[in-house]
Amino acid sequence: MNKQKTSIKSLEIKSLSKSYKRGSVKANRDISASFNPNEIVAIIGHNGAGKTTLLNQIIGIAKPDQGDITFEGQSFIDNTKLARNLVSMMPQFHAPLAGVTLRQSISSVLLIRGISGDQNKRYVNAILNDLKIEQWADRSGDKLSGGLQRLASFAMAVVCPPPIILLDEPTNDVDPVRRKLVWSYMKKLAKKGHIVIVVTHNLLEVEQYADRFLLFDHGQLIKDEATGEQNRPFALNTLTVILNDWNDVSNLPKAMDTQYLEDDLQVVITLSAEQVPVAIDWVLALISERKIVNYKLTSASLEVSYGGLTDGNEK
Amino acid sequence: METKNNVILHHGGDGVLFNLKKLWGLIRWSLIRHKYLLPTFSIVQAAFALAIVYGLALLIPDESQTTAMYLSSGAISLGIIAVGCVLAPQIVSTAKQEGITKYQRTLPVTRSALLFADIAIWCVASLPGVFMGCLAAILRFDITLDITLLSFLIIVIAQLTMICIGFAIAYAFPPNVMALVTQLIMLGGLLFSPITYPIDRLPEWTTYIYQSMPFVPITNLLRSTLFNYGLFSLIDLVVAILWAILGFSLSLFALSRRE
Repeated sequence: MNKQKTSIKSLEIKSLSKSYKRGSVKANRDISASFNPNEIVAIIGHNGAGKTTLLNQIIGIAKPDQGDITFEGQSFIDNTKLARNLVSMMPQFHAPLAGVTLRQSISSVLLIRGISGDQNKRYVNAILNDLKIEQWADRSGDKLSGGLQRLASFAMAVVCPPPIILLDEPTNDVDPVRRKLVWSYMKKLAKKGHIVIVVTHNLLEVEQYADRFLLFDHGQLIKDEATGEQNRPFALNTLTVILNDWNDVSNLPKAMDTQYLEDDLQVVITLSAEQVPVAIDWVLALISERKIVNYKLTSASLEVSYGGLTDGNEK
Repeated sequence: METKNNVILHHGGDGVLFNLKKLWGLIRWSLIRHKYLLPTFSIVQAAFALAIVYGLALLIPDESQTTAMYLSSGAISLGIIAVGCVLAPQIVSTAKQEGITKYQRTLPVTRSALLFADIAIWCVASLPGVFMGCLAAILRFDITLDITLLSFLIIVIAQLTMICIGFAIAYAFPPNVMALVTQLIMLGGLLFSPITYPIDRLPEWTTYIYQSMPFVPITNLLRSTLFNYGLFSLIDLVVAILWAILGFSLSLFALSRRE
């Protein structure tokens, strides 16, 4: 497990455990982690891995059976009011938007955070502009598309945000252009010194934008690592080959794993660093024989690592 | 609140004004969310009040002063019960199912502020019913109302009591049980409770039950203050307040309970 630098401004999770249904369902098992300012941390894992439960525990909706959550030396478990003042959360499902326009929703959350008058209007206009959603500002939330509702929810969580921001699947249903805007906004918040914690299933975005990821599996934290780390013990390479004819698959190179996607005429080969040269020779030979439509060699993505570390089953 | 580059630096300075501002934020948000519901409820309550004052009077052959007073005060009382113990729990229960309550629990406000905001909304929501009940009483029976500070306070206490009970029902029970309980209250209130007729028409043993439940005491209080008919009972007031406290406490407990 990665040893993270911690500071007095870090959010500390210590030995957190939580079970439901009289202990029969373990939501979290002995989770420990630090979340630092200036950092986007992605929480990944299959459905029911305990990601949302962790967020709910941080903001004080769920109570852990054991363990503690502290920020600046104060326990969020003992003082949930403090937690709510220092944390804002974008829920997995949409915030209450029915009958309220996007502008009114954001403005109301600001007012609830104690910001009124011109400052309130300024902040509302700024976030609408940053997320490029001004044209829907005066439309009722229930008449917005799923993606825009997510953006509204995101805006409500990050407009004049407190030090800790929890976002549960913020880019689901959001169009590719605004996904980038959402991540850029998170980057901006992290740069300003906020702790940004994002639950997501989009591993490509995690690799591209997050500073660190925590991988959960059946309530356990099984990986806590920087996304840019090159020397992962499970670092692999993926060779994807698209063939002209399925019968041309022969003399495959030695590999860690080979998947045959016959319907797509694809072979996906997982290689260790030592196996790459032989595999390239094999590909070059097929190219010279005009048996390949296309091919792609990439360093192992988080997706491959993720698949290797979790069984993907929900409990 | 102190902010630097949009990062909130200080959160502790929760003065009264600051908290009132936050409470107003909650109330305003709820008002916007319920902007279509409130006028609808007003129309329903107006129809309800007219139905009791004009409709129930048709069932009674002699229109004595007692009948007029009981029907008039009963119309107001049942209107308040309908809003507090039927409509409010249904809306709160829906909010609970749709995750609105859960979302509100993540906001930087106290649990009691969440309750106060909703209570304020529902007090406003039940006012048209009170107004229409009064108007119907004046038009139908030519009753002179005794509008004083005390009668106004009693109306507010009656609203608070019913709304707090309604909230407790919504927060404590799953939706199907909530629906059953609210229907029972309304059926009991309309058909069996001595709200629209004197209690002495019922067997004596039922008196103890009705006096310990909140519905008859608040009606008695409304009748004795707003209609200046019958004696003002301190015991009725205590019963109503105790039920309000119980309802509020149960709701607060349910809202504060962590998963």
